[in-house]
Amino acid sequence: MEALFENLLDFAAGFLAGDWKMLVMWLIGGLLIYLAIKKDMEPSLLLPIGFGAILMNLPGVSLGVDAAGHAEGILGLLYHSGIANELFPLALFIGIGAMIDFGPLLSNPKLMIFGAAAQFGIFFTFFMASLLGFDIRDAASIAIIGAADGPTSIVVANALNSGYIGAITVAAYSYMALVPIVQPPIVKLLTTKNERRIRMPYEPKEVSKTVRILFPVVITIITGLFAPDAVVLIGFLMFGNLIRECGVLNALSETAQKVLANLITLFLGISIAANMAAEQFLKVETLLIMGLGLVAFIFDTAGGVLVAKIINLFLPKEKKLNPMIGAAGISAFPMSSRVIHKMGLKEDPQNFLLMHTVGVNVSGQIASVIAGGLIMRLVYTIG
Amino acid sequence: MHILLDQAQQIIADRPATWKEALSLMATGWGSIFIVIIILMLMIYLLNRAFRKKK
Repeated sequence: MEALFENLLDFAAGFLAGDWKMLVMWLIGGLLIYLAIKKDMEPSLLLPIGFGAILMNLPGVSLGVDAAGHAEGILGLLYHSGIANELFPLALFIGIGAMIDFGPLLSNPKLMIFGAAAQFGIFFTFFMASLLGFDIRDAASIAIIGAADGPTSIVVANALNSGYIGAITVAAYSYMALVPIVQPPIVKLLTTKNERRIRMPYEPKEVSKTVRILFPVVITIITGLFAPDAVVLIGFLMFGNLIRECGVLNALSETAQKVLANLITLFLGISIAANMAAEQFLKVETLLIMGLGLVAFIFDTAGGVLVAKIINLFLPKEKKLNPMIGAAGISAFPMSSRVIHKMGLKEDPQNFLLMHTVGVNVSGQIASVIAGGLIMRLVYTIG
Repeated sequence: MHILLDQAQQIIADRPATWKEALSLMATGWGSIFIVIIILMLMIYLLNRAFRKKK
């Protein structure tokens, strides 16, 4: 009978002695599960991460990775099998690539500029994290929260061997889910009512099937030539897209979009939790990372909007852009495009920005992946 | 084994970047993204021109 209560008594004794960290992790896990179910915030990731956080912090149970990075249990094994070697996030990119229709972008390629503009938050956050004393690897890994793309954040943080991968992943997915709350005030702050009312008629140009098929191949080659560290990320994304567009692999395309993406997502969240032991997660740095993640999203949004305003200075009155579309250049797809479209409708019920914002948003997907590769290359130019 | 880059593990300096280094990376990084994206943009224009949909 004693054996039955031994673990509980040890836990109670530890708690009374001031060791409350496990309990805090249960609350954090519970909060993530609540946000996933009740608020519909990235439920496919936040729910497994939340449950994993509880699983990782039970007394007398070691399921994750130890301080030296060795697997101690099933979550550690999953972490080593799929996250530590970047397999899960890269495989997820195949599914994401198969899901994305790049048509609105191919039809209006100039929108791509906003994908680049809205990566500003990544680099600004690197600057801020460095000022706060994070070392180069961690500052770059934290900065990439601004990619607004979970798999890219995981890949970069892991490849750079950051000690904060758990906090970075939670921050990345949380802020992606919070795009409808984070972006509108920033966009409103940086634009006038008249600017938000600018109408942009949508005149789609037809895109041939050949272009749709060549697009993923060409993007991969160009990225390989100019940003080789991004080529694996962009390559897997574009491989998925080629499967979608080729027209002869419909079954594979459907599998990549649904079965593969769901299966990887299922393991991704819970594997991330392997790094959420209380000792690793409950640090002042975690709070700083959450703060810096917000900075990244704010400055991404600002970068996109301000570049659109600068471009407007050179455009004739009838061709002016609605600067709000620049904010959709962050990668959070399709959330950001919908948020900006709705903001346009709120200002003017006849202002349909959706196709423009979708084009900007998918270019943000490409640009954020390239930014991930570039930051991995640039950090080791710092000697 | 990392799929992406093993060599980075050894080369990255184990310290915070100075404000000058961080500022320089910010400018280089954001600038590089624009360059790559503009090249991609031009490629798409070329592809669209070369393979225009027949009416």
